[in-house]
This record gives sequence, structure tokens and C-alpha cells, in this order.
Amino acid sequence: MKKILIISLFVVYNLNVKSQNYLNLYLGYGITAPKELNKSIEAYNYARPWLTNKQPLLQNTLTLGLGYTGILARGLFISPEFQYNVSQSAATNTNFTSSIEMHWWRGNVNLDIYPLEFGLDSVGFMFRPFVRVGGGASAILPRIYFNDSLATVNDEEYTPHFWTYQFSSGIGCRIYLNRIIDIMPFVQYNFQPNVDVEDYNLALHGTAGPGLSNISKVSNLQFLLSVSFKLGRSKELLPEPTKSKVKKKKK
Amino acid sequence: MNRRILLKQLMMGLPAAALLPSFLNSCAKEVLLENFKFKGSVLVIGAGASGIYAANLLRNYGAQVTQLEARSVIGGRMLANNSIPGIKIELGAEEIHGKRSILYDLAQFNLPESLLPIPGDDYYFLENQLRSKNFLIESASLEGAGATMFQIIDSFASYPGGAQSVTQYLAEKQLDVRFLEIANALIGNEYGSDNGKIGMLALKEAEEGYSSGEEGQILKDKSLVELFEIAFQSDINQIKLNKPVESINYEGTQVMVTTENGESFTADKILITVPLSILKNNSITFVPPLAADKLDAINTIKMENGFKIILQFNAPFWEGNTGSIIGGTKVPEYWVTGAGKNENSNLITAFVMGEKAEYLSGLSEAQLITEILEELALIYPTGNVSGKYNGMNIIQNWGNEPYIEGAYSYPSLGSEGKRSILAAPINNKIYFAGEATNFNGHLATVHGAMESAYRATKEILEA
Repeated sequence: MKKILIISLFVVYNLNVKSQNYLNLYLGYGITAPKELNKSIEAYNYARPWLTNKQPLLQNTLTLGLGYTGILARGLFISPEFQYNVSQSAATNTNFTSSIEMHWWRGNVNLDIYPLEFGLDSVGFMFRPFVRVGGGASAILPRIYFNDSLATVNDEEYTPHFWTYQFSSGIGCRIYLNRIIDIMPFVQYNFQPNVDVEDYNLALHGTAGPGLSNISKVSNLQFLLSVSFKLGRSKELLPEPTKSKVKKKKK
Repeated sequence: MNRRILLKQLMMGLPAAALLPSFLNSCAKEVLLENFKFKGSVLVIGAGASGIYAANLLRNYGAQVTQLEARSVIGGRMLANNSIPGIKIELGAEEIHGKRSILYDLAQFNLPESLLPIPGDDYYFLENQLRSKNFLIESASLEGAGATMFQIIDSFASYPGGAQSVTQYLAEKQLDVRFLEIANALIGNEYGSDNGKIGMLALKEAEEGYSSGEEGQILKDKSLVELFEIAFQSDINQIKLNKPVESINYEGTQVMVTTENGESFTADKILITVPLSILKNNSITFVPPLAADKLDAINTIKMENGFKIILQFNAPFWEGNTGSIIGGTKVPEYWVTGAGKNENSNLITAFVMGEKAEYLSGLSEAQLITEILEELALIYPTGNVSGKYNGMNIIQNWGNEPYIEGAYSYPSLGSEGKRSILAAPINNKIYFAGEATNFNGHLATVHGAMESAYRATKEILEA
């Protein structure tokens, strides 16, 4: 992981040092709703009434990400990003601990549109809102532990990985701090229409069971904060942000 | 706000607004339990693994449960003998199959210290000698026949052919005849019958669905019934014993049950968990009669006799690491009962199903014991088997057990696809559970029975 991060930083820096680009590092919290996978957790809880502490649904998600923002045209940026997300559901009972972890490695290419900059001669905003649309692919690594041991399906440890695709959209704003660093709070919604986590029910619940499915739609709403490092700049396309020259009215 | 700013702001908000409804919809919690609307009354017939577990699940979600058991004891085909100090002898269900099942979780939660992987090695009786699995696979003298047998057994889930028995399939695969008894022990006897009666398509269906794993577990100092008593004590206390059901009338809005001693019980719904044999022999009269497809499923899925005979010896004549002895002609499988539980108990269990069990059931107790001792003497010619037998035996003939009348259902010829028909509810009033109704590959197991209870109670609560 460390190596990947270092190599990514190096490549991005060398490719773009002379253009109008940003390197974005971000973290965030997300609400994930994998409907069918959570239905399996409910079935697991239903079938195990002896559990004092029920298995929570998969919901809270932590996100770490690395992204790059490059200018395409005035007000229009491309933002490839790479995210690691983890959702966990853990329960502790007497003699029995259980934990479901979903690791999502998500690669996305986003288009960031800064609508307030269209048609303006000057784009010197301190505070630039944007809209994001994008899509990409994800690798999903489900891991289920009972008493700290990996769950098994037919005696084989359940350590699969699956691929899927997603669509993303979001809104946010880029806030200029100085010549090098911007910060960028944004909300991103990711939708994966077809997540097939094969044998998930068998690993968790012990049976495929009626009414349960391994295939789920997954929604994920992320609240992210990015720190963006400017790698270079193009004066023609995106001048240095300037403070508004309109004087504030004195009260 | 001028038009341009308004348009820009709308442009920013639209994507989020468009996606918000689907997000909120997918965030809905408790999707499964939201549909559990039923709060009425349910009669649960039978107090085996599925019946006890079902009663518990139904009560947890607000149903009023009355549970009737025909016998004077609970547990059904889970039955323990405590006559020998220091060891619980399972006369019925014994193994917790695999480590990924509701039953394993129940044991892990309630009796974690009791769980024990089945100890000992398996030995195979081939050409009058006991052999290890490795020998069967690797010995040059067998020319790969042993390896072929295990490969065939391991590939049932991907069986590509049509309807035929296991015996026919093994002949088609030209299995060395020396391995037929071992193959019968590993397949036919294990599934509750004989290779000639196991259908390849039904076997494929079972093997495809099976997912719990092969690492069997036992309870070293408790019985399975005790596990259920610990986990479901409150429900067990409410079971009405000695209430064999004679008829079930589901013509009206409610279901009415009449017992053999003339008592009547009514409820909104009924969950039938009796063994398949009780449905097969028409011990219960249904008014109106069951539909043709249900009767066909009941008749096509088979269930036969099964024996467990436990013999005690003054000293072991088997190797210390012995788990099972597989391939006898009279008894397809023996195992060392006390292994891991009480090593000094010197107990051997003879496990016989199907035709061989039928043959043994025609013998007197003395003849039966003699035949078993003779076969053990053949397997262990220098072991002084008869000399070490101390006369103590426990004979459990499940075919003679009242209100059970058999061992467990098996994947009989033509029974593929029938278990889901057997399990299907009737008129939202009659529901079925029990190992025979498990169509997910876990038939003939305690955890399969529990899974069927999970399925049936979900059907009831959602109705």
C-alpha cells in the first residue's frame, strides 16, 4: 500500500508538474446501503435468536482516497481517483464474536464542472462550487470472521474478491487557501447497480436460504474532505484566485 | 438572483436531487423483518430439532405457539443414552456437519468448550485387511482404483448424466468391484440407504447445495438434546408431550387438529415437522386430502430403517488412532464411540442403514450381536473380539421407534426437485419443516432441519 502511494505520487507529479493540476488526498465518512447483503445479516440475526447482541447492518464506511484533478477547459476538470473504503459490522457476545468487513477498492474517473466559472472573464474565486459526475470500477473483498477466524464455505476460507462498476455524482467546493494548497469538502454519491458477492450467504448464514440473494444494489453517500496540492498552473486557463474587489458595505 | 445564477444553482442541485430518492429507498432498514406481520396462533406438530427451533423463532416474533409432541420425550431423532458414566452416547443424530451452519453456531455460542473435531483416522476394510485412505489412493497394487473411487465421490456435484442409481453409475465408471462395499458405506449408507436406491440426479442436487463443510464436530461431554435444552429451555417447557396427531382439518378459516386421544386444538396456521415416514404411512389424515403433487413428493422421497448398535469391550482391539472402520459387508461403518469423549469407555458403534438395517431388524438381539462380533473378528482377526466383549450393548432401531419409524430421508431415485414441493405451504395455513423438506442440500442433518424451520417460520410470519 505504501509503495503504491509513493509511486502514484511520483508519477502524478512528474506527468503534471507543468500543467494546471492538483493532487488530492482525502478522507471521509460514508453511509453505505447494500440492500441484499444487509437482508442476509437480518436473516442471520433472525435465525440466531440466542445472540444477545445482534449483528449490525453494514452501513458506516470509512474512506481514504488519492485523486488527481487536471483542467480540460475553463470550468471543466477531469478527476481520476482511487479510493479505499471499508465497512464493518461487528458484534460481541459471550463466547462468540462476529465481524463482517467489506473492503472496497474503487477506481473512478470524474468530470468536475465549475458552473460559476462559465462565461466569465475572470475566474478568480476564493470559493468555487462544483458538480461532479463520473464512473468506474471497484474490487470488493468481503471478509467474515467468527471468533477471529475466517468464515468457511465447504471448509475453504472465504477470501474472495469480486469486480463491479459504479456511477458517481457529487457536489462540493474548492476553497483556496494559498498558492499550493486548496481544501475541498464534497459530498459524493456512488451507485453500484450489480454487486454479486458470490457465496456471501453461505459464508455468513450457513445456507443460501429462501429469499436471500448474493446480488445487491449498493448505494454509498460519502462526506469527504480533500486536501489538494497544486502541481502546476496555467495562467491562461485558470488564473490565480483573487479576492473580490467589491468593497463590503459598512454598516 | 438573476437567471444565470439561478440556472447555475439548479445545475448544481439537479444530480443530487435525482439520485436522492433511490438512495433513501436503499437505506431502508430491516427489510426482512418489515414483512413479518403475522401475530396469530400457530400449532407446531413435533418437537425434534426443527419443531423446537421453529417454536422459538415464532414466539420471538409475536406468534402464539402451541407445540404438540407425539412421544413422551422431546428431541425426535436426537436421542442420547446416559447409562454409561462419563459419556453421552448419541443414539440418533450425532455429528455437527461442518463448521458453517446454524447448529454449529448454536453449539459455539452455548457449549464452546464441548465442541470437538471428530477424532481419529478412517480405516477401510479391503480384501480382508484394514487400509488407510492413503494406501487406497497410492498403492500400486490397486492400480489407481482407490483414487478413482474418491474422485467419483468428490465429483457428484458435477454429475453430467441422466437418471440412474449410484450403483449403475459406478458400474458405468467401471469402479473396481473390490471397492463396492466401501463405496456403499461412503455413499449409500451415509445417506441413509444403499447405493442401489440413491438416485444420481437427487444426489447431485444434494451435493451441489451442500456448503457446511466436511470437518465434522461432536459434543464431547453433552448430547445434542442437551444443547437444545440449554438453548431453548423456555420453549421446551411449553411442549405438550404424548399428543400424537391423528387428523388435520384445514377446511375452515382455522386449522383444527385432533389427537389420537381425542383432544382438539385450533390455530390460524399449523407447522408440521413430523418425520417423513409419518406422512408416508398416512398416520395423519388431512381434510381435505393433500394434493397429488404433495403426495407424489411424499411417496418419491424415501426414508428407511436405520440402526445404531453400541457394543462395549473390556479393552480395545483397535489401533489407538482409529476413528471409523469403513466397508464391512454386514455393517458398512463402525466407529470408536468414545474417541475424544472417554477413551476408556471401549465402545464401538455399528452404523447400519437401508437394506442391511432391514436384514438386521429381522434378527434376534443375540443373533444381531453375534453377526456384528463375527464381522469385527474378521476385521481384527488377532483382536480376540469375542473375548473382549463384556456383554453390554445398546441397540437403537429407528425403524421400530414409535412416531419416527425410520432414520432420515435420502436422495432416492426420482426425488430430485421433490423436496421443495414437499416443503411448499398449503393455502397459507399448512407449513412443512424437518430435514426431509430441506432443499438446499442439507437434508438428513440437524442443521438442515433447523434451516427448514427458519424457512417455514419466515413463510408463516410473512403470510
